[in-house]
Amino acid sequence: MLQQNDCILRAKSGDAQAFRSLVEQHQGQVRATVRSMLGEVAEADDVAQEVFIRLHQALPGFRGDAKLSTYLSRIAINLSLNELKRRKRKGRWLTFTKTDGPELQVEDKAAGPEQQDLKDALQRALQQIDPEFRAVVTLRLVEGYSVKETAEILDLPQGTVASRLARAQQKLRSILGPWL
Amino acid sequence: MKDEAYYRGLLSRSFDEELGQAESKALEKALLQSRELREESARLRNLREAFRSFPKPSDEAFTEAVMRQIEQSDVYRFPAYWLQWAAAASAAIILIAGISIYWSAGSLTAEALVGVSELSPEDAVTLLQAY
Repeated sequence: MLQQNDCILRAKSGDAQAFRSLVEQHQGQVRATVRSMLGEVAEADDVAQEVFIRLHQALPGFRGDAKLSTYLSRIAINLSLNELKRRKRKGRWLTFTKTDGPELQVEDKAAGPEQQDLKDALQRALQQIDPEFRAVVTLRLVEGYSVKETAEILDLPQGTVASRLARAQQKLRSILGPWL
Repeated sequence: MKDEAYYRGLLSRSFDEELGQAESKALEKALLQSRELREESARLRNLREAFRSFPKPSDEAFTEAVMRQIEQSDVYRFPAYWLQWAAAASAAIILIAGISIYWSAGSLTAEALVGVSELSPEDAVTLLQAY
């Protein structure tokens, strides 16, 4: 596998193979970020693909001030937040017109803890917290960024990140009680 | 002794931020004294561990889909790139032509541009007589 910096330089000069290598190296991280934000839905991979398309468009101007992984996380979070807003608008419209589209998912609240594994439970719990808190949890707990890095990616003060994390953690802890 | 909610708050914060010395000592003491708080600490650790093991999907189909979309977007962008190059080349040709006319005729008047700046009326008469 090509070294990352070498890959970036070659991809900037139009080497498709080098760009492919970057996609291979970072797709796990990007897809996990987007799925954590949006849930296991069909459009999650579309958004993840869009992240790489944005990277491809931005590559000529990419100066490497930020690590590529940080840069990709920032795009992934922003696009996911946009998708959530779009979904919310669409949801409002669907509620207004009382038409059930295929995107509408009904949460099965009757399903007990024993019917789901921990992964599903985590995913469901994440979808129950506000997107701004979810973004913090995704970067800090799923991606393993430090509080400082998370604050830089989200352009927030470190104190805000820490307090959001503490509150989100408490909420997740109460939702996921039976699994912990 | 503060209430349990206070220590739970400290515990929750302790994973992501450095507590003050007094807070840190108070939490340590509370952890030694309270079984519930130790259990809560273990639960939070489990929660964070579970998030760390969140699946990171990776497959060839995804890479192919991205590369296909990029190829398509490059195809769509080709005419724009082509036009940019053509415009740049045209500008360069006009500039070179202008410089060479100025070099040979000494000005960029309409006569110089059509190549008749060095013709005098007598030359015109001579030309008419020749035909």
